[in-house]
Amino acid sequence: MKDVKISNIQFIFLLVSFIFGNSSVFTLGSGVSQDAWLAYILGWIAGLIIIGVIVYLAKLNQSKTLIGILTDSLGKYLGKSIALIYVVYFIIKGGWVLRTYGEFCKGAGYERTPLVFIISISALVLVYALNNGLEVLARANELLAPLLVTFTLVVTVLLIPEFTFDNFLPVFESSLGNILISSSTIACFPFGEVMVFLMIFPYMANEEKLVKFTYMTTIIIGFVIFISILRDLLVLGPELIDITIFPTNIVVGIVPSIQIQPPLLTAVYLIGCGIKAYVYVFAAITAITEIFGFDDYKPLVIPVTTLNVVIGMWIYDNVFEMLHSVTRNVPYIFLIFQFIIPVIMLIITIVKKQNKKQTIS
Amino acid sequence: MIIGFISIFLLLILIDLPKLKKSNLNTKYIMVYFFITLLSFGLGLLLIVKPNIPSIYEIVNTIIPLFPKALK
Repeated sequence: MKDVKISNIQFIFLLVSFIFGNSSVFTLGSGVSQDAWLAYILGWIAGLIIIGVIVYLAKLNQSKTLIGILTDSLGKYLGKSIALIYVVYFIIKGGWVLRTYGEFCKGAGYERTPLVFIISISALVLVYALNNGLEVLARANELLAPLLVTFTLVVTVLLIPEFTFDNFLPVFESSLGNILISSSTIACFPFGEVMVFLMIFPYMANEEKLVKFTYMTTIIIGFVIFISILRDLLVLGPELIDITIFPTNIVVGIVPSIQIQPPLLTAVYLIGCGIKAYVYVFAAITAITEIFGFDDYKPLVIPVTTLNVVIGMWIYDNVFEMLHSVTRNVPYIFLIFQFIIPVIMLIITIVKKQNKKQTIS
Repeated sequence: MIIGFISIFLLLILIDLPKLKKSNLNTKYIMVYFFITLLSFGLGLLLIVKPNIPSIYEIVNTIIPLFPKALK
């Protein structure tokens, strides 16, 4: 598997699609009305700190995946036990992304299609992509990721006449506490999720430059998400973005003088969801393969993707629970996997490296 | 619905069989493969038979408030 290498540009586009992924269909920070942009900026900065820990950890452990880092830092048994918990985390996250994908499709015009059907069909595409390997997906994504960003920017530009700048006022309507809570959830989703790339970094052709590329991409795509938040806020207003589950659906629907049907535009947003689900399922499968020392991951593709579909159906009862979990409690649980465990591993790696240096000298 | 689910499931395993034969088969691999397969199958069947089982979201929401109490 490690023979597969993705180029720098492929890595950048993969990260673009991943971060943009299902975060593009929600309005991040929607719980704090017109202060959503402020919460987003704070969350973005906190997210850059989390990503800093992740890339520094990857830089210190070059050509090692998360599983390799865990077993090196914590020993064979404890490391592999925590790695198994990470596998569960990846599967739950993958299922969650598939569910978002399904719910978004239902909202975008497939109201009468059963959710399980939408999720299963998207899972079939995932199985096909996973069987072809990471390199094939990275190449396909080179074509798809620019579409994602371009469409977001085009929709924003077309909606400029609809902007109501009074929607920003009054600033600081929400309490600082609420803004900080909202920003911490934004730090976890979508920026903290980059942690899963600890399973992808070893496949980079030029791993030495991962810090530069990751930061550059996060800043650029963070800015695009910021623009989409401003657009949703300026077009829909604070009250509407607080009560709407997928504001992108409504925003795309009111694009003036465009011949393309809204479902086609929303389909573009779904590209990100697909790539994100792929990365999670790929991470889960490669993690299982590495933990148990298997040679080939392909026979595991169908069972793990099926498990993702089942988890996707089981994770929530309805779309309101999904929105509540995105904006409230669940990101804090994910913070353990995205920040706390990587920080502990980083400290252990630094201490081990220093001890090694002292022993040599 | 249950029959449909089981037949799709068996079909998926049939698709996987040639791949399993090609890869270096060992007992551990088969055990892991069937564990994940049976887990997804069991969970899927449970969701069909008992659609009212609490979702992951409900389970997490029940567990989270217990932690501050435990700390007190």
